[in-house]
Amino acid sequence: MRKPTQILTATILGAMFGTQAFAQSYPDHAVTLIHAYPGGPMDAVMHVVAEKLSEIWGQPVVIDTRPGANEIISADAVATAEPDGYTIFVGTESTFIYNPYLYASLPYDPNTALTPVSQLFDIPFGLLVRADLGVDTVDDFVAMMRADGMNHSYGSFGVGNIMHVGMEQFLGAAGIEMRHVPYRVAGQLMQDMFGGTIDAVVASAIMANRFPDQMHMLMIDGDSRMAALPDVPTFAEAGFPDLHIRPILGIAVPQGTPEDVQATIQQSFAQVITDPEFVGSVVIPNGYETVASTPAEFQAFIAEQRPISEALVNDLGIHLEQ
Amino acid sequence: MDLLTAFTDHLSLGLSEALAPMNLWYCFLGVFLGTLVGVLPGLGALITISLLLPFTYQLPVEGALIMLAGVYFGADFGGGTCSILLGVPGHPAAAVDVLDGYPMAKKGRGGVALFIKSVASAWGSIFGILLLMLFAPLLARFARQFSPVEYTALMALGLVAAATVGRGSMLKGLATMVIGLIIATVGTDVNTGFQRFTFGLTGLSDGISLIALAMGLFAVTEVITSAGQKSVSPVKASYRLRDQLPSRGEWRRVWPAMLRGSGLGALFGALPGTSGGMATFMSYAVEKKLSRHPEEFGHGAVEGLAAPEACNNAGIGTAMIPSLTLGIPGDAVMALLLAAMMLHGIQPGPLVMVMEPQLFWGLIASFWIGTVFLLILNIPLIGVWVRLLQIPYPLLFPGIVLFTCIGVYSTAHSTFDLYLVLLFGLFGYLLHLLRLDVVPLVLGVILGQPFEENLRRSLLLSDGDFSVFVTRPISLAAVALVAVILAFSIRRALRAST
Amino acid sequence: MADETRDLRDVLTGVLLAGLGLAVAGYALATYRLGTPAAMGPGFFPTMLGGVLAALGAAIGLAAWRRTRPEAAPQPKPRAMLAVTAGILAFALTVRALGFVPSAFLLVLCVGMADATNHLPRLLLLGAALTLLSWAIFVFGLGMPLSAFNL
Repeated sequence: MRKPTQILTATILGAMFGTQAFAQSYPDHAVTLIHAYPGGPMDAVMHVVAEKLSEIWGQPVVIDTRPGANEIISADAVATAEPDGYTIFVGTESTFIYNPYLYASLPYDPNTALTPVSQLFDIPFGLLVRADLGVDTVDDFVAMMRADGMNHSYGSFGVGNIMHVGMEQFLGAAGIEMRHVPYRVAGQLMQDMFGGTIDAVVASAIMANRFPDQMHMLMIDGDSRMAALPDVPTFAEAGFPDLHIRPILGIAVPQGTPEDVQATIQQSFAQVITDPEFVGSVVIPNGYETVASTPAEFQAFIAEQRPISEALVNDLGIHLEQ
Repeated sequence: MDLLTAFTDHLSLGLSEALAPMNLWYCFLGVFLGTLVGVLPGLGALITISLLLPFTYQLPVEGALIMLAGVYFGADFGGGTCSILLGVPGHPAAAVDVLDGYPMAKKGRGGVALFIKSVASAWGSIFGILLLMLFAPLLARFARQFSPVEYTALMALGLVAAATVGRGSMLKGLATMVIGLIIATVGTDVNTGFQRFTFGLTGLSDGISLIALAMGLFAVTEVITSAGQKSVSPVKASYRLRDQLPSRGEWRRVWPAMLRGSGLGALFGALPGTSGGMATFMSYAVEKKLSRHPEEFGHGAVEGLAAPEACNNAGIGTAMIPSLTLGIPGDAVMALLLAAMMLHGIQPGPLVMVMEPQLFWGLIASFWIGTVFLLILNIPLIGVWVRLLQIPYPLLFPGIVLFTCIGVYSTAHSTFDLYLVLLFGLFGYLLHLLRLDVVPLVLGVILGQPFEENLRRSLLLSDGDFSVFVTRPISLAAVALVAVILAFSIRRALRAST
Repeated sequence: MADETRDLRDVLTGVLLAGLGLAVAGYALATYRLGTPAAMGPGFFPTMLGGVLAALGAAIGLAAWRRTRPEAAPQPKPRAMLAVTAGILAFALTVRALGFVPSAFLLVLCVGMADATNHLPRLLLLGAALTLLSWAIFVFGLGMPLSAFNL
């Protein structure tokens, strides 16, 4: 349990020694994780991770949130922090992949200001429809939309959100169209889906697990079928081998952070998130998959995904002005 | 009487869980901490819960949830205390408490105001939770009748009703409400991804921070208005409990208002996305319309304090319905409570009630117990709070500004939000000089985004056909009421000017 | 008191509101796409609101022009405005650079000036007391990650 006095001591010590801290003893004071989603499911997961990290490191791990602007504010806060490993950014595909193409300019250089350290999780998304729509397979769904797509709606959390971009990706691959209805409040989106206003979304496995009678997952991203949804085909099995809709959760540190510190951070996170108990109690119930990649693997993944996303954003003609 | 047996079964199961000594202690601790933090301006339930969340890891799951629920109720209550005593709402939805509670405090009746508030909120909680226990599935089905069309119409009604809340003319109330709606358009347009009125500032891309706005408009404006005035001398008040009790005449006005308020709150609470503020403002407007002395509203009318308070707490009770039965958070605070469940390995959703009945009903029973604790805790505290008013204003107001600034800064660590506090403080002062009331503006800001979104969604789904608003019964009724209120106020405005 | 002067403060209110409404509507029209009711662009709602506000402002101003002044309007207080502005600005500018303690102290000093009866010794004492109190509540009690000194 973190006591306020511990944090205080750590803060004072940190202020006194500041940048003189050496990597050999990392971490010797409080480490801060910064993300953009106070109160969200990710916040909960990161609180558990922080608690386990502080057990490993013997130092407080504090979570600090800087909400807003598609993570730009939180990413910028870390990009401008001391590169000593005591400020770690936690973000999604928005920062790591899409934002450079969605926004004409960013306050930091998206290619260099942050050094990606590890991809923590994958969150495979699938095609979720309301049960009373009366379709049981992807083929039925595509046929229905081909006949009457513009009288059917899909929901998202706004233009440029993965639920919008991902669904458009699928619609494009299937050669069909649907009406896009954006939402800001998750509760109302789900309620409208229960009520029949919204016919489909792309989403993680959580809702399908929770409401098997009201929601049907028609297919889901993944190399093999998901253990929790054994009857749901993968994208490839359903005929979309090139489709990938999987938000990610990754960590990054400011450019110039010593490599041995990066390595310590990556290994400690990996130790926490690959722990079978953690996987069983946090990862699987949230519809996540543990990745725990190395810095090189994560950077390669980003380099591979960015051109695909750039083409996608351009095709859809999305521009979020800053 | 299947319903009744089920109810008593659940109640006894829940109470046996919640009355376990350790759980009682966690409940008390939560309520106590929540009240203390909630009193600080700018710190609402959300930040209090997120601060305390790490401390609950070590507790057993029932204890953790019971404590956090206690924090929720306590913080909400504390926010209103601050509204009444200093005219500074602890959180934006408590703005309505400023309307009549603060004038009462200024007249030296702060203790009575706090007493009425305690009783009204306790009644609201008890009633809301009772409905939650009896009719959870029914209320959930009621909420599912609401498509974007009904939401739009209902919010229009809420907005027009809020415009009547101010002290000035209805026209002025409408004008400030519209300013609020305009302020709410600042930020990313969710339908197109377009940035509106942000002028290239990253800090505005998610819209104006509601906390910064409310703290500026209330705390800073109030300090500028009252500082340095000779008339603001400490109010002479007595601390004896006997003097904090409302008179018999006041009781007669309070209890029907409480009943009406809690009914309205319970219905609205079941609709996710309408935000706490809307129902309380509507309830205030209803009281003002029904009252035989509407001229007292804004100058310390007890109904204007009791009804919204009961409404607010009844709403908290029913707002748990979507959260607990669907696993969908009704607001950010609920999201954190659900997160706490997940942290303890419990998956929120429809199965909680079946798989963990002890936890589910224990949690609900603990809401009741928390309410009782709130009452027990707060009635003796009234004397302490009222003493706050004895501090001479020249010594008090720098503290108000300091606590407001720290509260706002600590929510997002954004100095940008501090500039917003200042900006809205000066803007609020300008409105004060122009004799415009800020309260309708706050509701405009709270409801602006959901109102615009639902309006656009309705028309998107109807291909631009406005007749959807009058072809569905719930929406038709709301639209008709809006028309009646507007027609009435226009007629009165025309008559007043001749 | 039937004063013969018009209710000029309300006339001013009306003019300012109408001006604000027109400015919003004009800016939205010029900058954002309007769209159709079925597919509203980002400009539709703000333009509509600006128009409504302008109309309300005009109505308020006209009504005030036709009636006499009913009550005294509050007079501006430059001292309080300046003191509060300076205090909040000082806090916002220094809380990161100097840390929470000096910045809170500065805020109390500046804001306290709003009342002419607050002399310097009293303000220094008040500043120290309030800084200590808020440090105890926010940093010590609530464990908020604010640094006390950044020197």
